[in-house]
Amino acid sequence: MEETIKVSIGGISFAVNKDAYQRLSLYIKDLENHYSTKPEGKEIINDIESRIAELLLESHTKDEVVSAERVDEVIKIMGRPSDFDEEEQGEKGSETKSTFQARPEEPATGSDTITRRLFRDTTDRVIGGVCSGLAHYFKISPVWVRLFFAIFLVFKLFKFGFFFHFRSFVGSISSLMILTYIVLWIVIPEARTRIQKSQMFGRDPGVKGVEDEYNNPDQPHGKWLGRLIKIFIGLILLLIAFGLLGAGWFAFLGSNKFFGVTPVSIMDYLQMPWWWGLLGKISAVLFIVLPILALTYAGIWLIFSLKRPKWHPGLIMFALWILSIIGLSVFSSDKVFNMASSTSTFKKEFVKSYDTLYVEYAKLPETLDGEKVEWMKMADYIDEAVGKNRASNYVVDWDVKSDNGEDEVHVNDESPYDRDYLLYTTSGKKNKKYALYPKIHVLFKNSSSIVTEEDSLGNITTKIVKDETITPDLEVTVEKILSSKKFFKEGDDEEAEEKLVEIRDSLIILHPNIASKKRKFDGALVSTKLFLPDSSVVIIK
Amino acid sequence: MEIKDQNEMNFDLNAENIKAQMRKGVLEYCILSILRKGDSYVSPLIAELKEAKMIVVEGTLYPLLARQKNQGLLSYRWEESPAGPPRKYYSLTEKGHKALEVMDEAWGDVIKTVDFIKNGTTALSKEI
Repeated sequence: MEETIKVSIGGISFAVNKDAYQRLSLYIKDLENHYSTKPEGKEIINDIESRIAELLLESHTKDEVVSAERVDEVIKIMGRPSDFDEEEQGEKGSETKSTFQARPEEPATGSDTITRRLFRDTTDRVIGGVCSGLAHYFKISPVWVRLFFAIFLVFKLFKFGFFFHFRSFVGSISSLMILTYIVLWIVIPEARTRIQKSQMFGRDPGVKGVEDEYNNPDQPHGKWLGRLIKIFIGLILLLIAFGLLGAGWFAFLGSNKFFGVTPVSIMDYLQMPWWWGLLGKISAVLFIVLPILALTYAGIWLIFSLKRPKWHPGLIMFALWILSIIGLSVFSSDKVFNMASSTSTFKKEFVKSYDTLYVEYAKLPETLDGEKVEWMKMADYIDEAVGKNRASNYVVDWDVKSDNGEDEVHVNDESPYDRDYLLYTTSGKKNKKYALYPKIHVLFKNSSSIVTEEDSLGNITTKIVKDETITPDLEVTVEKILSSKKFFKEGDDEEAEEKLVEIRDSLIILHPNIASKKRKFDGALVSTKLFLPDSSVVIIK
Repeated sequence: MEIKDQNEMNFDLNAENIKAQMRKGVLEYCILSILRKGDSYVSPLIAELKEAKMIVVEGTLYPLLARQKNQGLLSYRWEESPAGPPRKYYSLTEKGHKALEVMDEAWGDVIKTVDFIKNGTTALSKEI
């Protein structure tokens, strides 16, 4: 069997037989000797090699073994260096080396000949080729980059955590890294062509070989400082983006811990047409997400000096962002939402004066919207969601201190949530429902007075006199925290008051205001003030 | 083998030499002229030059291209080829275009001059 040798000519591999190899070697040597002293010698030899490859491909398929005869023909077409008859024959040096060489196992591991470019290597990929692309860019093994991302994925999937702080931290970092991967996947182009593949490794596409970086005119040293500044600015932009992402993450997903829903989906629980909610949601998400995306994009773009895409992503993002601002301002405009809350107060009458009054919280419905529901106190839900000790950090202060200096009795002091308004929620994460009981303040009227009397003898006696005629009062206040002239009907307040606060003789029944995605929250907060003679007793069930 | 007369051999060499010298000067002009018609890579360039019998061996072309590139008359970019190695697409630079204009003028003058000397009458005499 004839011995064949694999060689790389002009970046393309050929199988040649031994004779052909020797002839080619000699020819290339000849060229090297001829051009060794010329500055453009290397380039000329590379060009000639490319042409030889092209000529060989004209008559050979890639796998066919190249014969000595064919090599001779090609050399004849190309001509010997002496035939070129270029002016002086320089002294023979050995500086210039041809790239013609027995094919090495790995691509040349020397210095770069051209600027390294970041591409996704889809020929060596697990998901999108991002890791291998990054590895090529930083001249490391893809294994390390993959390991780096894989660790975060594992953390994310299995929720490793030894104690709360660590889990929370690792969890958000992991989410961030996974998001980063996705962003990189989108932003980094795939290495499709041979040129791009060569650039990915920092090789000259024409030659698969070693060239000295310092001899390369394509990369003047002056550009280094510019590159460095670009990378620095890019890193800062990325840092800001990550910071914003953290904040956005917290506002949109992390705050799950507030009410069991994200602020964005809270809109689903408010009484407004669906399209209005949609406008608000899209605008809000775009408003937060776009700057993060833009910063990330700009950062990556600067660091890896990527090509500017034709579709102007920056401009599009900016335009969308402006639109989102317009959307948000329309959404929350004064005409629709009157954020300044309106209040109306009603008096409820008791039939007569009672010594003992009862306050009862009506039972929560067991089924709602055709579903069986399990209620739990908001405070308990939060404890479960974020961990007992951390709950206080997430507390929304519903407490409204009375401003008239009256002595206030808090009905329930268990947690800041239900100190005033008792808020219940359903367990589970999906399709949450909320039940808000009216707030009750018990205030005592001074029914006794100290009466000083002087008799005819001049004796002064003081006695406490009780005024038995004072009857309890119940004042119901309906406060609209969201009042939209457009979406909320007039006369709602009275309806709410009648629906939620009921008096049956000496019993005050507080009904929950229930909100779900089907029964939207009308924005009414109902609070009651119970004025009692200080001789009375209140029993709260 | 036929042995040639010494003089005849000398003449042969000289004739070859003269042809080669003339070709080389004109070759550069031709390369630029072809590129004026549009950017091209080496193969079509060679094909056209061969057809016009401007070059015999292809190797001649590369040092010229390299030199013209270094003089700033040409520039090149890499482009994919459907099969085989990526190609260097050469194109004329601004400087190349200007140089070509000068060459055009010079070439016209040379033709006129040679015509005039050989035939005694032509465009040149009409101008005078």
